[in-house]
Formats: sequence, C-alpha cells, structure tokens
Amino acid sequence: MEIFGAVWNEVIIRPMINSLVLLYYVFFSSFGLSIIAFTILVRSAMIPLTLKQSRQMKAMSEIQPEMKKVQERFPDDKARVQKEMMRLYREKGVNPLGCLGPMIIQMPIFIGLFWALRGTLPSTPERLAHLSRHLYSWLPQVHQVVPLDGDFLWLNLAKYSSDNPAPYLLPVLVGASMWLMQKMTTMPSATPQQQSTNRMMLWMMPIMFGFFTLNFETGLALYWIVSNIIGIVIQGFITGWGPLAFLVRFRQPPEGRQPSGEPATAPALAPLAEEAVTRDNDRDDSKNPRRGNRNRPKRARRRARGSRNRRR
Amino acid sequence: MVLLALVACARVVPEGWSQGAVAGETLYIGTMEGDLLALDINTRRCIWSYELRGEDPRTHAIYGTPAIAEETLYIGGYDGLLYALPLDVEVEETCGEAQEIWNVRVGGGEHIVGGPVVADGLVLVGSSDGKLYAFDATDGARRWVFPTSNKVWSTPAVADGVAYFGSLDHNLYAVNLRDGTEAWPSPFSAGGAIAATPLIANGRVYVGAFDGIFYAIDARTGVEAARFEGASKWYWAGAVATEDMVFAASLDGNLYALDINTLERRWTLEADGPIVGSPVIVGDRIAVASKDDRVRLVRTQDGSDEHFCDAEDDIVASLTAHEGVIYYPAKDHSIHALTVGRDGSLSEKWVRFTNDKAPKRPAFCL
Repeated sequence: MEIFGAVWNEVIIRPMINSLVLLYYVFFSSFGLSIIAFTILVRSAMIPLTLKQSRQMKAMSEIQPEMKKVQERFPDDKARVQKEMMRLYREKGVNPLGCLGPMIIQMPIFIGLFWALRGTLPSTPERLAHLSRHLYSWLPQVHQVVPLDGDFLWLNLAKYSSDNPAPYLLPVLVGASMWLMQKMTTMPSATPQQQSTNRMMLWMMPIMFGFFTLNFETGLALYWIVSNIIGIVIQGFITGWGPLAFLVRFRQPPEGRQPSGEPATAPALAPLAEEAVTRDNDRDDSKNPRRGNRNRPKRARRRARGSRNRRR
Repeated sequence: MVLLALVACARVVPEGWSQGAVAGETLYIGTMEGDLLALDINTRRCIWSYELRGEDPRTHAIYGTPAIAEETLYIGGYDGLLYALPLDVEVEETCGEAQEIWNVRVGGGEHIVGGPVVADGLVLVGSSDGKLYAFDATDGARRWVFPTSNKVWSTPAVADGVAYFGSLDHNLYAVNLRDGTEAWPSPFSAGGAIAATPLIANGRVYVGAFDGIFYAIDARTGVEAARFEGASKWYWAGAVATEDMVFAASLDGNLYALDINTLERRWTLEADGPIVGSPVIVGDRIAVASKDDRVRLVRTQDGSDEHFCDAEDDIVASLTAHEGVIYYPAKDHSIHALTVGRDGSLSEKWVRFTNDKAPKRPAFCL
C-alpha cells in the first residue's frame, strides 16, 4: 500500500502540482489563468482517449434504430434479444464497453487533479508547510512564487465557494456546465431501465457536484467549469451539437406568435432538432405527435404499434 | 463518487501549532481544539481554559506563541482577534473559563498565524492582510500599522527599539517601534517567502526563507552578511543560537549547526520528517521535534549523544524549555513534558490529553 502511495505521489500528484505552480510563474502570477491553462493542457493530452470514447458513443447511437427493431421483434424473448444485439455489435464493430475504457483511464487523472489543486492552494498553514514536500528542489522557480496568490476576478480560489462573494454562483455554474456535458455524452439507451438510469444521472451528477462545490476550494470549481466547457466543445465537434439543439429552440418565438408566420423550428435547424430527438432522454414527448404515444398506457402503445405493423 | 462525497463533507480546518510559554509555575499553551490552556507545570492540572471568541468556530486555532508581559498574556488567534488575558485568572472551578481583559479585531479580521510580541508598551502582531499592527498593551488601542505586500505570518523579533519581521512577500523588514517607520533604507529581499521568526544575535538578524537559503543580515544596515545554501527545502522554524553557533531547522528534515559568523556548516542532525517548529537549547544540548513524531536531544557542540522520545503523532509546534523540562503539543491532542536528565537522557514527566478520543499512551523515550 505504501508503494502504491509513493507511485501515486511521484507519477501523478507531484508532476501536477509542479506544473500548476510553474504555470502560475509563467502566467503573471495568476492562479486562475494557471488553472485554465493547465485544464486546457490536460484536456488536450487526453483528446485521443476522448475521441475514442466519443466515436464509440457515436457508433452506439447509430445502431440504436436497429437495436430497437430487434427489441420490437422479440418483445418476450430476452435471451434472443441479447443474442441479436451481440450479433449487431459484432457486425458493426461496436464494443458496448468501449466507452468505459477511456473513462477508467481518465479517472486517476481527474482524482489526481483534484488532490493536486487542493495541495497547490493551501487553505491553512499546515497545508502550506505540506506543499513544500511536493515541490521539486531542482526547480527553483516553483519555490520563488510560493505561496500562490489565490485572487482571481472577484474570487479567492483558495477559499471555499461558500466563503466567497456570490457563494451560489459557482455551484450553479458547475452544475449547469456538468448538466450540459452529461447531456452531450449520455449513452443512447436501448432499454427503458437504461433510459431511466441515464435520466437519473443527468440530474444527479450536476446536483451532487454543485453541492460538492460549496465545500471545495473555489479553484476546483473553476477547474470543473473550464473542463466541462472544453469537454462540451470537443464532444460537439465529434458527435455534433444535436443534444443541445433545445437551447437553440428556446430562442425561437412560440408557434403562432411569429410575425412572419414561419414554423417554430426553422428549416435550417431541422436536422439538428431531429438528431436531438433521437438522443434526448428527457424531452416532452407529448409535444411530438410521432412520439407522443410514450405518455400513453403500455397496452395502448402495444395496440398502436400492432396497427402500425399491420399497415406496413 | 463515494470518496468524493466523503471528502466534500470533510472540510479542512486549521488545527494550530501553538508553542507554550511558562511563567511562574504555569504553562500557557494552545490546544488542537483551539483553546488556550493554563496548566500547572508540576501536576499538569488545568487551572483555567479560554475559548477563542471568533464568530466562526472553524477559525478557532492558535499558531503563535503566547507573549507574557507584566501579569498579562497576549495571544493572536486564527480567528483574526488579538487577546489580552490576566495571568492570575480567578475561576470558580477547576479548568473554568477565563475572562479576557480586552480583545481587538486585527485589521479586517484576517487570520493571525504568527505570535504577538510585547515591547515598549506595544503589542506587535502580523496579520494575513499583509500588515504589521502595533496596539497599546494596556487597552488594545491601535497605534500604528506597517503594510507589506503579502501575509505576515512571522512573529516579530525586537531589539534596540526596532522590530524585525518577515513577510510572505519575500522581504525582511526592520521597523522603528516609536512610529512604525522603516529602520533600513530598504527591506532585505530574500529569494522566497519568509514565515520564520527572525533571530537577533551577534549584531545580526538570522532568518531562513522558502528559497531554502538561511541568511545572516546586518541588523543595523539590512545588508546581507552571510548565507547558507545547504538545505533542499524551505525554512519555517525560527533559529536559535549559542555563543558561537546558530541552529537552523529546515522542512527537509535536517537541523543545521552553523558557525555564527560565517554560516559554515559544523554538523547536521537528520530527522525522518520535516521540521516545522523551532528547536530549543537546554543547557549544553539542543532539542528538536519533527513530523516523524520524535523529539531528539543532542549536544550543541557536535550533535553527538542522541536521545529521543517518540509521541503518537506528528510534532509540528516549537519546543519550550523551562528549568530542564521541555514542553510541546503533538497532533494527537496531547501536551507533553519531558525531563532532561543530567546525562542528557529524556524521560516523560507527564502527558495531558485535551481530547477524549486521543489514544492515551505515554511517549516512548530512549
């Protein structure tokens, strides 16, 4: 266990802390800029992993219609559904656990970052004394700039968010950016159970992290916000902005009140909106006549499906 | 996720590392709970206790050493208040709550980490707002303020009407007690922050900085006279001196014995953990505590004949010596008294625990 601790310290924590302090030295003694630069560097270094993860997600998303068909063909034979799904995965070259691998590799980096940020901006004298153990003795610049000045904009990054002015702003920003990030990266769901889990995660994670933010140093909140924004942008370029199409829709005036009399969803936005419909997990289906039957009882849905199949 | 949740719920709170001060038969010392205790040095009996008054209980911690002058004790709290308490507190019950003479909010109430010092009727204390404050010792009225560019965590040292103190802005300042003006043409600039208490001896000011360099500065002019560059980490502890040697403890875990004139190394004592608190000289020996839970006692002349006592937890506070007994608090909520024998051996005189949850084991001495 001691060896694990030493390796963790030498391979993850110390390099991160020294990088953060060195960036502080480079970026005009601004720890806010240091965190932003560091986050960009880390996210850039992890782009290959993020790309792999996103491609797997996109592939999963693309085979969703076929998976749905399989489920509809064998509604009472779960074993058959599983078998058919595995065949589908094989044929399309999709690894259902492919998204997890990169995520697992990223976890130690994020946990390390969490501790490194906490260690770099000590909130008590004990922690500042402890920081000395992490700094490289062969790098004189990092010793010259300690203790770091935590002031950034109106915030003190060393203080807890709840102790800064506008204490709820950062938790809300962390929660909102994480919600958007979750929205962009939520795996397409094949089953109602998975759909319900996704919906729960979509809300639970941002709320939890928003709550954590109140009790963490503000520097961590800044890191989370920047990291989420970068994540959203990367994800958007890889898999498209479909999941966030509702943001654009919000800006359109409601149907019937438009002076020009145009429909609420502009034609140019239609593909985006359509993509959103296929991924969106918590949309209001009652407003979509083609999917509105989701809110009807199961028996009625089955009847409707049967009549549709007969028509075909 | 569960780990993160646990961490989120556990806020980092300051614990304090108060050094004790002895007056008469009483030891005054801050506890890990953030209270000030008055203990009978012979029986370890608690005479009185004092809870800091800061509004936020999370800031109730004491890092500095209590200063004692004319029957009054002064202490700076991490809660940003400076307190004056009478030494002879009359309390109705054993360990009853003492009442202060006065307390004042220092500046905007930023944290106080260094201890106060009393000289010429003034109480000097540094604050995390980057200023050194001078208050009237009798009523706490503010006399003057000296600004620096960063936190003042160093306890000032006073000699010949001049107060010397370091700031985390890398400078060592010399300020006239009379009016708070600068005594040197310009402050002495080190290569790193200064949190240590300066030592005045031999017409010089000795102080170590976060650049790992230990400096000797001419007390009159503020010009560097000598330096020692042998440490690999910062200096946090204040130095102590004998007639011909000065002892500097570093966070690299070494106690350096240096020539008082040239700062050339005479010998080194290696500990297994960082040394945060100042060592103390007891007769012809020097005692030093480190974060490896151990107090070591060696000859000042050559660092030989080592004796030690092990506590149950880290020792980061500075040591206090009084009539052959060493007092210190440890992180396991204990306060220890070690007797130094004539042969240089160490033995535990008593230990007092300030928290019921603390493991009540005596120190192991050899």
